[in-house]
Formats: sequence, C-alpha cells, structure tokens
Amino acid sequence: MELIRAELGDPVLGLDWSGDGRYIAAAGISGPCGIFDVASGKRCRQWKAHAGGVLAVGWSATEDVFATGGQDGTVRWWSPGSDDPLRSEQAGGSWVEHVTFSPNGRNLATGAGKTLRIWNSAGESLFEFQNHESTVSGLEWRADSKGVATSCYGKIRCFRLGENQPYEEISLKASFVSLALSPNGRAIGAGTQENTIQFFRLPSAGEEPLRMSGYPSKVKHLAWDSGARFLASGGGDMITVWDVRGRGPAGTIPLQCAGHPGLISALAFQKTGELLASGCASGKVFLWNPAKSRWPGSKPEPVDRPLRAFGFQSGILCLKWSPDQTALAVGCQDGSVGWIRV
Amino acid sequence: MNPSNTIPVTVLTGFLGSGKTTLLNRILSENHGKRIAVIENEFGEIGIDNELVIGADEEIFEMNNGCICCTVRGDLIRILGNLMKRKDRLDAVLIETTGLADPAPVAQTFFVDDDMKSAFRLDAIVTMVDAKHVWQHLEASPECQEQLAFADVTLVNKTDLVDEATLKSLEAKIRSVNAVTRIHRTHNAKVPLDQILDIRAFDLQNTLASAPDFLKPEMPFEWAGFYRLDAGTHVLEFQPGPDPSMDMVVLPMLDASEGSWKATLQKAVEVFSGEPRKQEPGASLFAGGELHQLAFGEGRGGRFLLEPGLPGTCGVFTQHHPDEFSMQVSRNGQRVFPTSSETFAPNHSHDQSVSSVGFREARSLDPKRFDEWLGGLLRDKGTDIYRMKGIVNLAGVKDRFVFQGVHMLLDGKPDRPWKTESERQTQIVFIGKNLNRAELESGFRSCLV
Repeated sequence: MELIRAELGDPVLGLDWSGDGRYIAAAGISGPCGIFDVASGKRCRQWKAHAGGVLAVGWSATEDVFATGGQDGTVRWWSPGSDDPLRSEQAGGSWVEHVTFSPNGRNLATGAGKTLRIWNSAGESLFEFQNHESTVSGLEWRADSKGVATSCYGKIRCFRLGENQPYEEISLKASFVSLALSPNGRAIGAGTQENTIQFFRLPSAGEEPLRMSGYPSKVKHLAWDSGARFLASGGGDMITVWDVRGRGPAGTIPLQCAGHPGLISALAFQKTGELLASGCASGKVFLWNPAKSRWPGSKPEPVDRPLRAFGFQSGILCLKWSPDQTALAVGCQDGSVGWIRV
Repeated sequence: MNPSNTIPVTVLTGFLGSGKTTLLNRILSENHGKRIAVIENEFGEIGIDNELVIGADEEIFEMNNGCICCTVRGDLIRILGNLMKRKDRLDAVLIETTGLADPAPVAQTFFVDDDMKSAFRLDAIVTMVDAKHVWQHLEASPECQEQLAFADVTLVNKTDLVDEATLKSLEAKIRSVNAVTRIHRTHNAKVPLDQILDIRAFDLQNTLASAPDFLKPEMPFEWAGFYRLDAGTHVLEFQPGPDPSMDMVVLPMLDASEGSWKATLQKAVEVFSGEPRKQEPGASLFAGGELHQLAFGEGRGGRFLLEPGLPGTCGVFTQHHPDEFSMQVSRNGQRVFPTSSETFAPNHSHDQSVSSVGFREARSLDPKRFDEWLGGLLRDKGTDIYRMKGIVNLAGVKDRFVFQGVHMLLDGKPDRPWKTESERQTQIVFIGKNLNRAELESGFRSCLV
C-alpha cells in the first residue's frame, strides 16, 4: 500500500476520479478546482471554477469531461486540459450542492435548491423537477443508470429517465439529511435531523419504514455495499453496519465498527469488492471488511477493529474509490488531497 | 463546547421597513476589519457584492426528539455547515429574518443541531422597530410582540420621525413587553457594531443592571413619588400619552420615614383595588383614600388641580409611568419635583398578553428541586415562554449556574465561581405569553433551601 499526498490548499468538499483512473479532480470550498496526476502525485492545474465556492464535483466514467456545481448557481462542464468551462448552465437554485454522473457516464444529475435536473453529456437539460418541498438533501443514481432517487424535507422520490413524474414517492414527517439507494434499487436508507435512519423497501406500497434510532448525532453519511446487503452508517464515532438480508434490519443487531477518534465524516464502499472506507473529523481513514467481520451474537457490542489505518493532518471531508476500485482518494479539511493504493 | 472558540451569531428581526437592510448594508460597507457573514432573507436585497452575503430560503423543519418538539431552520444548518468548514475564520454571523418571521426556529437551530452547537453560539437577538410605525403593529400584530419578546437588543430606528415624548412612551411600552431588552435609539440604522455583535447577551449580569424594576413585586401602579407640598392648590399637568386615561391615588403621609412609606404603599394598594372615580380635566383631586381616574380622552393630555390639604409629605401613585405623559406638578408657576420616587413592575395581565416576569433572590436553591421545577415548567408552558435567562445560586455549588432558553429548549451550564458570598444571588427572567406571576413565583419559592 502506498499513500501519496498533494495540496489543493482549500478545504476539499468533493473529489472524483477520471474514468481511466489517471487523474483526480478536487473541489475547494472557496472556489478553486485542482487536477492531480495520480501516477506522479503532481498537481497539473488549479483554477477558480466558481465564484463564491465549489460545492460538488463529478467525473464521467466514460467521457473525458467532469462537472462542478457552485455557490454561483451554475453547473459547469470542464475538459481536464482547460481553465475555461466547456459549458456553464443555471441549475435552478442558488447553491448547486449535488453533481453526479450516471454510472454509465452518459447523464449528469444536479440538485440545486428545490430543483432536480438531468442533463445529457452535451450539457442539454433533459428533465427537470422543481417541486421538492425543500432543498434537495440527497441525490443518487440507480446502479443501472436508468433513474435517480432524491430526498428533501418530508419526501423521498424515485424518478425513471423519460418519465415526468416520480414512480415512487414516500412521505414521512422527517427532515432527511442523507440518502442512500441500494445498488439493486430495492431499498433506501435515509438519515434524519432527529438522529435516526429510516429504512424503506421498494416499492414501498405505503408500508411504514423501519426506524433505527439511538445514534449520538445526525446520520449524514451512509453507504451500501455492492451486493446491497450491508448499509453502513455514521452518526457518531462508530460506524454501524446493518445487514438487510431477509427481514433485516428488523430484529437484527448491527455490526459496530469502533476506533475512530472523532465523528464519522465520510463513508465509501468499494463498487466491486468488500472493503468499506471510513473517514473521521480527527483525520483518520480506516478500512473494514464487514462481510468477513465477526458479527455480534445476541448482544450489541462494538467488536470490529479496522483492517488498516491511515492518518491525515486534519478532518476528512470526502472519500472516493477509483474506477478500478484499487485506490482510494481522500479530501481533507486543511486542503490536502491524498490517495491510497490498496 | 468551548464558548471562546464558537462564532457568535446575531439574529436580526424586525418588520418590513424598520431598517434592517440599511443596517446590513452599513455593516457590509463599513471598514471594521471583521469577517462577518450575512445571511439575508431574500437573495439580492443587499446591493453589495460580497461572497459572505448568502441568501437563505427559510426552510422550517419540524423536529420531534422524544419529549421535545421544536422547529429548526434547515437552510441555516446547510449554509452555516458550509461556512464552518472554510479556512478563514469568521468573526461573526448575522442572520436576517423576514418581517413577519417568528424568531424561534432560528434561535432553536443553535440549541438542537450538534454541528451548529459545536461551531456557533447564539449571541443575541436584535429586533429593529420603526419608531413611527411600530405603534400600529404593536396593537395589531402578535408577531411584532413576539419579536420584541425575543429581543436581547431593541433598536428603535427612525428616531427623527417622532418627538422625545413618543420615544419615551415607546420605550416604556417595549419594556412592558420585555423588561430586560437593551434599547438603543438609532437614526438611519446607525449603531456601533459592538452593540449588536458578540455582546454575549445571554449573560444576564449587565442586562439586569439596566432594568432592575421588573424584579420587584408587581403592583397595581407603575410609579410612586413623594412630594413635599405646601398648603394650597397645585397644578397637575399631563401631555398626550399612549392611554386615554390613568388611575391615580394621592395619599398624605405622616412623615418621610421608611415606616411611613411602607404603610402608605400598602394603603395605596388597597385604594387601587377599589372602584375608580372618573375625573375630567379641570377637576380638583384631593389627597385621601380615593382612586381617581384621570379622563384625558384619546390622544390628549389634561390639567388638574391637586389639593394636598395640610402642608407636608404626600405620596402620589400612578397606574402608568408619569414620563409617558410628561407629568408636571407646579405651584404658582414654580415646578415642584418629587423628593424621591420608585418604579414598579407593571401589572400586565389586564392590558397585554406578552410580558416579563423576573425574580431576584439571595437564598440559595436546591439543585434537584430547581431542575424539576424548570423541567416541568418547560414541558407545560414551553410554548408560551419565548425566552428565559438566568444566573442561579445553587446550594453547595461553587460556580454560578447560567442558562438561557427558547421555548422548550434550555442551554445551561456551570459558569465561573461566585466571587463573594454577597454576589451569590439568583436572577431569573421569563418573557412570554400569558405568564402567571403568582404561579411562577410560588414554583420558584418552592425551590429555595
């Protein structure tokens, strides 16, 4: 394993890998965007991508283009070799907080204020939904690239490309702060302002969600494993992993992963493979393997210890696995960017 | 949470047209060398290009955490969540609310959200009123009373539009809603920044020093003055004030001693409980056991004749503060001033629903009973209590216990040690709707050791 460090110099709110895994784009909270060469560890370029600040970045898996969302209300498409955007469009709200390419790399979904937009690779808007009850707090693509799920205050919705209305709309009196759609599209986990997770099976058919409570703080970070079996959650210094096989997580005792010296601030499962990466506000990045862990029997106890640990100088803000799932990119509060070959 | 590391948050409320935007523009354009983030309620309203000016969406989220229900501002959690990650540290945050907004969700955000609590602290709620037009809102709008009730600081703006008497009576009116708010008069929203940012308004110490009146027992009159009067007719003159009439009692006193004063005070309370007798301007008011109702008429003052009878000391008790009517006593054209005077907590239950109730007590409180009393109070009356603040003398505890609260939410912690034995005094303030002073007082007394 090797760890390479580089500098963006501004708290790293988001990062993503190019489709070929050769570059990393990192977004800084006050506006800079940097491109890093993975092999040499050098920063190729850095420029101001948005006035006010960059909030999110996503790179297409199949095309040589990445997109950023900013506090200026725009979504911008970039080619890694130029400081001028290929295209800049209003995303429909004041802050563009969600920017994510479909897994097949063809379409981009943005969440800005109450507006969801889906764009094609040429930057043309294909679809718009403006009727969220409040600012979109979570936005996730289906693994088959055929639709997205969104969360906002009191609602979770699933949209299919080509249809104007959501095919799934769940109402619940809760303010959702995070959203995770399982890779098989059959379950959703959502963290709430009230320190709980709500768990839904799809189609929900009006069924009551399962409510998992007892978290010390808001669950802002959730991640599904590639097999749609484990839902990992933050919301404290420990990671709580739920096994949703069968009737689970109802009546099950979760795996608790202990050891982080601070609040969990990022979670990412490999898209293929079993590893879970976690980062915390105290600058540690740990790797876990829930599938190979010793799960608790009848009583809950924090049993698991990390497989690997890496230290950074400041809080971890984001984690992203490389396209081939062999490396992990890390963005930090102090502006450093690192990547770990696993 | 270390308060010295948290960023102070000032919440700016006030009706449309009170001058909030002028104040924000002033703060942003002044060369004060501070990094201040301004969250405006409507994007683009402030005409200054500054990346620390951010538009809010007023997204109110209901939260239900076991026994506590409250509302928070989801948009603020998002925006401030971003600002707190930035490299350049902020010196202060200023949040503007919309004209009719209830300040509670904004304030509560800083009590319940862990991220907000870790990085920010609610420093003060500042309410701006337009000195000329606030009167109509005060009567008609519960939101206006609520904003005043929440205010740690009240800025009475546009003072150039009204005269001194109106300002005085406005200030008296504001105090009758919120006895501990710090009032500043402003013109064109000109106020020194250190009066509204990072002022630690939750610390009652200074606040109470400026407004000790309401801690006193509630009386049917707001003011009492002693006059040393000669024999013969005096003239009692009133300018137009906020009320069309005022009750008044004049009592002769044996002498100016403390004992005589107490006896007269008691007598005055008795007389005030009787039926008032209407007195038109020009009438003669005799000293004695009669409750005079001075009938000025709407928007008018009046001139009355005061007949003390024998020369000597006289106690004059008035339902409202005489400054509201610029009361003057004179004899043969010579003004007569009271030798001393005292103000009392106004008895609000009759004329308004939002008021303040406060206690000051040197005896210490039993920690367990105090905790139970306060807990029960918040549970049962939390919706009616807008703000509460206090410094508490807990029995057997070396440190001051300080708290502040908004509705059902309370933030309390041990503070610095008491400096001297004589400093050990409990001071508590409640500001809210339909407060029952007697009930609060008996609850409070039951906690005394």
